Amino acid sequence: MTPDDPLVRHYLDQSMVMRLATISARGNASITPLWFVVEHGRVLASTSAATLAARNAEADARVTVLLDAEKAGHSEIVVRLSGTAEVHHGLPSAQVMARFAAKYYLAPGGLRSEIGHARQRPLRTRYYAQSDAVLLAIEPTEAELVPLPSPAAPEEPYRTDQQ
Amino acid sequence: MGPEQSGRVTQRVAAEDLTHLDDDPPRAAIAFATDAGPECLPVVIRHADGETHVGLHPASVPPDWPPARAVLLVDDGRYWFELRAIVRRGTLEPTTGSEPSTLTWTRFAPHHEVAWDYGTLHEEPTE
Repeated sequence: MTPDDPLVRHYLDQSMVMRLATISARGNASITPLWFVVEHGRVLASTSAATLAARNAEADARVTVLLDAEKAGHSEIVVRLSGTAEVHHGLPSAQVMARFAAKYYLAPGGLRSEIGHARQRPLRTRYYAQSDAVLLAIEPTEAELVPLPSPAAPEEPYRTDQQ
Repeated sequence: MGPEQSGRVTQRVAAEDLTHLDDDPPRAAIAFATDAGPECLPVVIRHADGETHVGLHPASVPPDWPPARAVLLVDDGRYWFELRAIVRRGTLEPTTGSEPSTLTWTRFAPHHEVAWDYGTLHEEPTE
């Protein structure tokens, strides 16, 4: 499957939080949930330059992403993208920031959340001012469908000593 | 610095503060390093008798599973103040004596964890 497959585009459109896996220069894996938007086929995520995701992507550009399409409801599969990330220091362009705002702050659920937490917003402004921003620009090169292990049937993962 | 010196603003919490997320995570995934780069897979997590086990769909079990080291993520939320997660770094061991199962189970032993909950955004004490 290629990253421009219609099913991949559906998952990109219907996912709110991607899970981004990276590896450090010493070969240690890391995984973190991140907001993202899509522009010209690239997956864009804004985060702090101090995060493991940013530092790892600078050390090793190879990344893997999981997408759940959670807006579309429960699915039995996730999409996994593999590709490379470029790290751009500084805030995203106004156009990209507008995409983030539309997806996360101005969508009905986001707006309700922002209003409900209005008193914490000054604290958030201070939180963002504490670190430098980077934009991770991910160029997907491969896409796969991965089946979800079913959470519907709890199972005992190991045998006890019961007779 | 004036008298209104303030502490660092943080979203960090103790993992114990996110028990509900830990017990029933809407999203769970495991990541590990391979020669081809970082790998990540969706998992199911079970806590029992003080141990953590991760379950993979049999069709997604990679060759040479399990890797020695991995990172386990559970997370929830869509919007800023709803985002919360626990990330645990640890080791994986094959689970022995498994009962017949539709999933492939592996024991995960964490040795380091961090957790955050943006809804708790707060100022750390300065002292």
